[in-house]
Amino acid sequence: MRRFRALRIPLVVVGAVFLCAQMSAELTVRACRRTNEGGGRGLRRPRTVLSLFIGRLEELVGDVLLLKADNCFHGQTSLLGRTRVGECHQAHSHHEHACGPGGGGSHDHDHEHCCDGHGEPAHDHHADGAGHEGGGALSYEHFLYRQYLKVAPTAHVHLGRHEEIVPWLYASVRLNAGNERAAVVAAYWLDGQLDRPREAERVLRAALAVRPSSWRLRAELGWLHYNEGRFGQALRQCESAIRLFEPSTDEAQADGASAALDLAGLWRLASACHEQLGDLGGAAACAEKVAEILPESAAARERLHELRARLGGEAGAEAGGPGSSSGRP
Amino acid sequence: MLADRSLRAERAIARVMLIELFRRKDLYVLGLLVLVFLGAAASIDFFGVGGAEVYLRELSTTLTLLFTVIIAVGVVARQIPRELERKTLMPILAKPLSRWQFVFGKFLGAVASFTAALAVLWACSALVSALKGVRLTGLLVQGFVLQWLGLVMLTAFALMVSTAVSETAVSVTLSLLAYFLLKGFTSNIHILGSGASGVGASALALAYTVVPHFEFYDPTQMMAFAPLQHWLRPLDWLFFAGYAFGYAAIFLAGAWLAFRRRRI
Amino acid sequence: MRALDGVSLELRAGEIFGLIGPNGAGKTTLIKAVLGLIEPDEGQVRVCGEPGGSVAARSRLGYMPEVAYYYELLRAGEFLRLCGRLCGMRGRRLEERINGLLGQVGLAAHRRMLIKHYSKGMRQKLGLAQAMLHGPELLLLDEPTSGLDPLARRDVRRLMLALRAEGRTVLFSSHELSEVEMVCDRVAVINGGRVVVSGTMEEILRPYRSYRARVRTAEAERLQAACGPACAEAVREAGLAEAMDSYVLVARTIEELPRLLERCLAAGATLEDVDHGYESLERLYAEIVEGE
Repeated sequence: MRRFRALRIPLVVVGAVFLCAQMSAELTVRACRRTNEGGGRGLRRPRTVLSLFIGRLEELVGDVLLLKADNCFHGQTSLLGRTRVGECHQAHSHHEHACGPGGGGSHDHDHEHCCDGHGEPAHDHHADGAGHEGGGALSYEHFLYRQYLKVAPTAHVHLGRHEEIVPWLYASVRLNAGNERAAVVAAYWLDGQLDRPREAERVLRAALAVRPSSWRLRAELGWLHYNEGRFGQALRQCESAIRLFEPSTDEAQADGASAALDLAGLWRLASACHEQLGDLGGAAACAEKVAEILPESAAARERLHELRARLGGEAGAEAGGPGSSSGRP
Repeated sequence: MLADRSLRAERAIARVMLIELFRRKDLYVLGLLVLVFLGAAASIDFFGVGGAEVYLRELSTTLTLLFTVIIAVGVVARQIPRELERKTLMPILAKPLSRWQFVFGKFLGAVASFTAALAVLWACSALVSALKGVRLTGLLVQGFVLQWLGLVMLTAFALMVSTAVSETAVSVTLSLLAYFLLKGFTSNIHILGSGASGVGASALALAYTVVPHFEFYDPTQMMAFAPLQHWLRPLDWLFFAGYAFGYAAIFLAGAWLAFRRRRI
Repeated sequence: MRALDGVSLELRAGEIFGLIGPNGAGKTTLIKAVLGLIEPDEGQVRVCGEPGGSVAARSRLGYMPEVAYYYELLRAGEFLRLCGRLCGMRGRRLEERINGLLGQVGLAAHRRMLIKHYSKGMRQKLGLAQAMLHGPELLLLDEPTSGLDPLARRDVRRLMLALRAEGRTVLFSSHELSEVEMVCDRVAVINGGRVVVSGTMEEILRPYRSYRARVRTAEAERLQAACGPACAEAVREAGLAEAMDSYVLVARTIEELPRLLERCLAAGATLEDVDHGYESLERLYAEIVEGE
C-alpha cells in the first residue's frame, strides 16, 4: 500500500474530474438526446455489477460514447468539437436507416451517411476563421487560431472506413443497452454496411429486453429480418411496431411530416412483407395505408395501383380461366 | 569555482528528482496501467469487426497525455511546498547556489521526469499498437514531440503555482484544474469573440492572445485522423517550440520572483 | 514581534563559539540570518568578508540543521554527492572526500541504506558530514549532538576540536551546557532575541568564580560564629556544607580567602584542602533565563 501512497492525490483529482465529467455528460446528453425514453413505460434496466456501483453513470457514459461515435464519423475527437460539425450536420437529414424497399423517395435521405457512403470532404470553412468570415484576417489572434487548426483540423471529413466507429458503438451499446438510438445506429452499420446481421440482431434484441415497447427497435429488427429473407418474422415485428407507434417528442422531429414519414415507412415494410409472403391482399391493404398517410406521394400511389392491378389480375385468373377478362375499373 | 559550474548544480538537483521518481515507482505503476488499459482495449472483439485503428491511436494518445500530465504536475507541484513543509530546503539553500539555480534545477528535474514517463508510455502504446497491427509512422514522433513541448510549458506553469502556494494538495489541484480548463475552452474563446462586438470582442481577443494555449500540444486529433505521413512544416515546429519555451520562460521567471524573497 | 533585537556578534577565526538560550530565544533565527535564509530588517551580516547570504559567503560556510530532514529516497553517498556538486566539487576528489567523511562520522557501514531508514543519530551524523563536505571556513551547527548517545557525542566534540585545530571556526548552538563548557572558547547567552552576555568562559563566569577551603572542626557553633557573620561580605554563600565534621567555606575573591582561613584557624578548625573553580554555566544560565 505504501507504494501507492504517491497516487492518492492524482486519484483524488481524477475522481473529481470524473465526477465533473459525469455532470457535464448529463447536461450534454440531455441537450443532444433525441430519443424519447418513453416515460419509463416498459423500461427494464439490466443490473450489472458495474451498474450497482456507478448506477446511472454507466448509462450516461454509454450515451456520451454514442456522441463520440457520431463525432468520430465526422472526423472529430472531442465532444465539444461536435458543435462545430453540428452546424453542417443540421443541414442534412441525418437518418441512419437502411434504404429499404420502395426506394429513397419516402423521406429525405442523408446521402452522406447512407447507402453508398460517398462524401467528398466539405470545405473546411472553419479553417478560414470562426464565424465564416473568410480568410483575410492577419491579426495575431487569427494567426494563433490557424496554428491550432494545424494540430486539430476541423475539416468535415467522413471516415473512409466504417469499421472505425464500431469500437465506440460497441462501448455505447454495451454500457447502455437501453439506448434506443445507439442500438438503431449500431444495427444500421452492422447490418447495412459491415455485413454483420447476427451481431445487429443481438444488439437490437438486447435493447428490446430493456425497452420492449420501442417501436423504432422493432421496426429496425423488422428491416433486418426482411433483408435476411425472414419475411414472417419481419411482418410480426413490423405489426408490433405499428401497434406501438407514437410520434417522437424530439424537437427536430416534432412536425407532423416526420411522424407521417415514419409511420408510412412501417406500413410500407408491412406491405413488402405481405407481398413476399404471397399475400397480395394484405400488401395492398398496407399500401393503401401508405397512400392515405402520404396522399401526395406519387411513389405510394404507383405502388398501390401496381398491387391492385396484380391483385385484380390474379382474381381474374382465378375466376375466369384463360381468355376471360376481368379487372377493376 | 562559481564560474565553471555551468548548470552542474541544476543538473545535480535534477538528477536527484529523477532518482526519487524511479525509486518511488510512480512511473512503473502508470506504465502498467497504460498497458492494462490499452491491452484491454486492443483485445476486445467489437462485434467481430476488425481493422479499426483510429480508436486505438486516439485512446493511446489520450491516456499518454493524461498520465504524463498527472506525472508532470504531480512531480513538480509538490517539490517546493513539500520541501518547505519538511525543511529539506534548509541544508540545500545553505549551499552556494542561488535561488534561480534551485528553481531551474527543479524545472530540469521535472522535465527529465516527464520525458522518461512520456517515453515509457509511448513505448507501451507503440507495443500494443504494433501487436494489434496498427500502423505508426511519422505521426508517432510528431505526437511525442508535441506532447513534450506542451508538458514543458505545463511544468513551468505548475512550478510557478507551487512557489506561490504553500500547500502541496492545493498546488497540484490548481495546476491540474487550470490546465484542463484552459485546454478545453481556450479555442472556444476565439469562436465566441468572432460573434461578439465592441469591448466584449476586444476583451475576448486579448484573452485569447494572452492565455497559454495548451490545446496546441494535444495531438489526439492529429494522431487519430491525419494521414499517416502528415508532417508539420519546419516553420510550424519553430512556432510551437518557440511558443512553449517562451511561456515556460515567463512562468519560470514568475516562479523565481515568488521564491526569491521567500523566508525559509 | 522582534525575533532578534540588537544582536551584534563577531566570531574569530579558529575558535569554537557556543550559542545558548532557551527555546524561542532566537538562536535558529540568528543562524538563518547568517545563512541568508531570512533577511534582517536592520543591520548587516558578513561572513569571511562577504555579504551574508550571498553565494560567495555560503561557499565558505557549512550548515547542519537542527532537525535532520534530508531526501528520504537517497542513500548517504548520493546525498553527499548532491551536496558536493552544489558546492562545486566533482570527480575523484568528491568521491574520496565522501568516503573519508562517512568513515569519520561512522556511517560507512550504512552507506547503501536509504536515508528514510536512518535513525535520528545517523541522520545527525549525516548532517555533520554534509556540513563539512566542502571544507568550509565557518561551520554553523544547530544542536549537533541532539539525539546522539554519549559516545557519539564524544566523537562530535572531538570532531569540533579537530576542526578548530585546523583553523576553522565553529558556531554551534546547544542545550547541553556541559558540552558548551567543555569545548567552547567563547559563549553567548541569548534570550528574548537579545544577547544577554557574551565572552570567554572565564569572562562570563568570573562573577561566579569561587575559592573553596575545606576545614575540619568539632566545634561547629564556634566555627559558624567566627566565619558566618564576620565573613559576610567575603563569602558568597552563607550556608556551610557539612560532612563528617568537615566544612566547606566559599570565598568570592582570592584576596578574601586568607582572612577567612585566619578566622577559621582562630576558631580552632584545621585546614584540609584549598581549591578554586567556577560555578557551573548552568547556574548562570538559570539566573539569566529566570531572572529576565
